[in-house]
Amino acid sequence: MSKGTRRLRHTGGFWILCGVLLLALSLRVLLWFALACLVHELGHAAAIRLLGGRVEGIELTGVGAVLSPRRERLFSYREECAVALAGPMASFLLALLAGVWGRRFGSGDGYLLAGLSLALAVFNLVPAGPLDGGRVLRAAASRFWGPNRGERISRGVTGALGAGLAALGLWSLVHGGNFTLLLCAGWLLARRTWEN
Amino acid sequence: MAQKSTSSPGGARRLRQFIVCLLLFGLIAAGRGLDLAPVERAAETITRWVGADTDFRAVFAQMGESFSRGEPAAETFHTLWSGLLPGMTNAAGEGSVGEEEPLPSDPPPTPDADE
Repeated sequence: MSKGTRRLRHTGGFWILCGVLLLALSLRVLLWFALACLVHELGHAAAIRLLGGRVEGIELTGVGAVLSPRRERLFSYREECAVALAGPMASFLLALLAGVWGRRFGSGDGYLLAGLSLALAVFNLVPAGPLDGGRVLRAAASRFWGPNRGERISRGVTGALGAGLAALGLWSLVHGGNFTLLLCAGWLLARRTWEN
Repeated sequence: MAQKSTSSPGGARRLRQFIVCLLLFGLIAAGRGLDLAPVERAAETITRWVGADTDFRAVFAQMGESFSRGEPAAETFHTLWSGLLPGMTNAAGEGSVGEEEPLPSDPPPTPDADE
């Protein structure tokens, strides 16, 4: 079930995710992370707008935010890539600005926001299905080999990356590490399932 | 749209689930804000379970600082890698962030050099 206004909708899973993050991190980290996510999504929205589309709303779910674009026409594969890359670009820009803020005023919050935003940008560039990198891969593969084969390639890479991350996470855990990689693998596979 | 879906039995169940999720979040937020002991204990348990002894805030702040200083990307991401995944660097025989020993300025003399 999703509630909220027509433009901003949120699910129960989203609030559970916020609760767990609030327990695992602190309110300050959570707020800066929310700002980093907002700027990332605004980057996508700006690109959609520049290409003549409109964002009708945004849904906040337990596996991330999903934009609902309304397009007057179908985007080309190149435009799909541009929309997908606009989010990480916005995150890089925010990381740069926050870094300048941190350096100029010696602000720990500036460095924290820069780090979170940079990590968000890089993680989203991983070429796994639900992430921006995965959307770029799907669009590029579809451009060269057609949509069906593009979809198959994207699914194959996502599955391999999810399994690889899970295996690496287990290996890390055995060697005294933590659950970070396993959680990333779980999130990746959950989001892929949710999108399907 | 929401009215339409809540009028069905499935819709009402989902609405109840949504309210429970929202209430849970409210309880956690209030507990963290008021430093309630059970919530703090749950936070400690989750932090220990998820991140071992990783200080996420420090890791991301160090990464941001490294990025803003214009350090090479490999170094910046090594900060994140070794901070978030100490198990990987332990297994690879590396130290974690802040534990790296500086390289000696002069290499130790080899037996051949002594002779």
